[in-house]
Amino acid sequence: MKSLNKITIKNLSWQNEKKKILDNIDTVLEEGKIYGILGPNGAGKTSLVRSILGFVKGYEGSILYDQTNLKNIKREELAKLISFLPQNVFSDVDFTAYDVVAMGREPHRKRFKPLDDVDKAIINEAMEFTDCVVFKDKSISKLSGGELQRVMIARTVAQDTPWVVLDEPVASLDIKHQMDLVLLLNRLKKEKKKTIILILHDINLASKLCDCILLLKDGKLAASGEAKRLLNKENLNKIFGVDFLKIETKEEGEYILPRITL
Amino acid sequence: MKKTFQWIRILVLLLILILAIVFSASFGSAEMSMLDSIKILFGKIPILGNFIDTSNISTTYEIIVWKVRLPRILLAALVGAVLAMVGTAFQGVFRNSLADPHILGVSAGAALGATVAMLFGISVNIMGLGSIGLFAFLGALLTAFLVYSVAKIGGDVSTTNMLLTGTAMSTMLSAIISLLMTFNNDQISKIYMWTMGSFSSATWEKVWFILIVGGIGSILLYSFSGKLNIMMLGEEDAKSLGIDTDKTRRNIIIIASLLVAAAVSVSGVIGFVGLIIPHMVRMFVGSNNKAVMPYAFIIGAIFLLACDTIARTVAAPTEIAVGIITSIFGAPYFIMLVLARRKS
Repeated sequence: MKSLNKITIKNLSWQNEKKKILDNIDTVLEEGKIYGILGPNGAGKTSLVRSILGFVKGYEGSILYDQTNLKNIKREELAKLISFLPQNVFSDVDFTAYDVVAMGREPHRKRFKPLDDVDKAIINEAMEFTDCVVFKDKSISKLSGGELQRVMIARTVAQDTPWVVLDEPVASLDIKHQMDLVLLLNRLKKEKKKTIILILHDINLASKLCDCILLLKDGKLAASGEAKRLLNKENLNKIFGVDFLKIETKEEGEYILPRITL
Repeated sequence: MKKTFQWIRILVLLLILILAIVFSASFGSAEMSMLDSIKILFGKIPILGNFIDTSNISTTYEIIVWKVRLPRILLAALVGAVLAMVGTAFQGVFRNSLADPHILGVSAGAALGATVAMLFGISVNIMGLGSIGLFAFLGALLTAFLVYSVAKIGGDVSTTNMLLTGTAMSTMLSAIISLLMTFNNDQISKIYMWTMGSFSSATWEKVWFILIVGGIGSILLYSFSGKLNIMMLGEEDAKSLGIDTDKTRRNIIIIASLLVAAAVSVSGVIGFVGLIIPHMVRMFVGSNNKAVMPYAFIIGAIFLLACDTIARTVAAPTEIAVGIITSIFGAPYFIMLVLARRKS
């Protein structure tokens, strides 16, 4: 696995044809942590991760991978440093789970060269890691949301990048699968030493799982820092415009919930 | 274990293709036995031929098989293979299951080129194509270039724009052909036959032409199969795996368009093969293009060869346009397959 110590974002601004999406974002992301990006709809969360992945063109400011400007890194090289789990893939195609995980080896493979024993060992290990060996020959079009998610995470493990970006990985999962995914992501950090950036909506999940939080609003980085410190009632109220309650538990610490008034 | 199984299946299909070639070679207006046609075909193979005694077969038969039937058979098989290959590539790259080799208007361009050559009696011969084939080839390339240039206006090539431009262009060019036909009543049937597709003017030169262009093009398309697989899961997903999606898409479209141009210029516009064969193959092997492409190549060859054999024999001496056969026999068969799949 290659190494990447930090990603530095300097005065990042970007606008599409209609309006400003990202407004002067300045931050440094460091290896070994889990970063959670939170904010209301339209705050620029997805645009921020898309910029970090090099999908956004024509932005102002700069993004540095260690000392190298993102603009000077080729796609193939980038794919060895950072992997991506989009919110949706077109899962209506008839590929086996194994085929999809094997795609993770693409950046490491020369053209015309078939998968070798090293690749195959990595693929099998990745599938064991996320527990999807049992349905490796099943078509992804027939998998449940949770199973598909595990296949996709196995693919990022096979891609063998030090950093992983996930766009709302828990959004479409039921509660049990959400909890399983959180455990899996935590293992990804602990056992595979990966740095993880993910977009989330669940405040309590974020506060338990993430080391650091970036709070976005209207394209601006409203606040950032250690998760437990940052995710308090006042900050959340400012960001989301909703009242929050704090619930203290003896065994599990604090939980923060939006106040529901009818 | 799974790999060897695949190889066996491919070998079996190749065997069926060879059988189909031999079988088809013994069919036609000059009746001859299957054994004789086998002797003639295998007698031409170096070394092996020395052991085969063809002395008691009349030379007329030999000429019929070798100069008339075999080029036609091979041409039909190669065009079928190429069309199925292009259909697979287009359906993948456009993520559209209705995409077929003719969807970008390339074939309509070829048909217009051929029509112009027929009406103005232009006579040249380059690469064994003849004036009609050559004009068809040029018309196809010109159309592909036009469609691509229009779709590129205002930034990156969008596949939706390409499909829309291609469809519009195809309709417009077909209308121009109809217009030309209106004013040249005497040529209508000739032009019509060409646009429906036919292998009746097959020559060895055409076989070599499509063998070289189609062979190289198909190998190149196959070399993109891994990337095409990944791109079928989504644009940014593919980018995150290090694929330059714009470049890959452009390359696939250019190679596929060249292949269509080559196929159409030697055979006319044959529908259905490129649309249906890839779907048929996917029903059995899934979406993985590394498997779909080789199967589609061989099955496309067998299918079009079979259709052309029917086209030239069933109402002999009248030729039926092969495009009619592909659709009349292919469509019900395909519907049956879909239904059988639903049941199971």
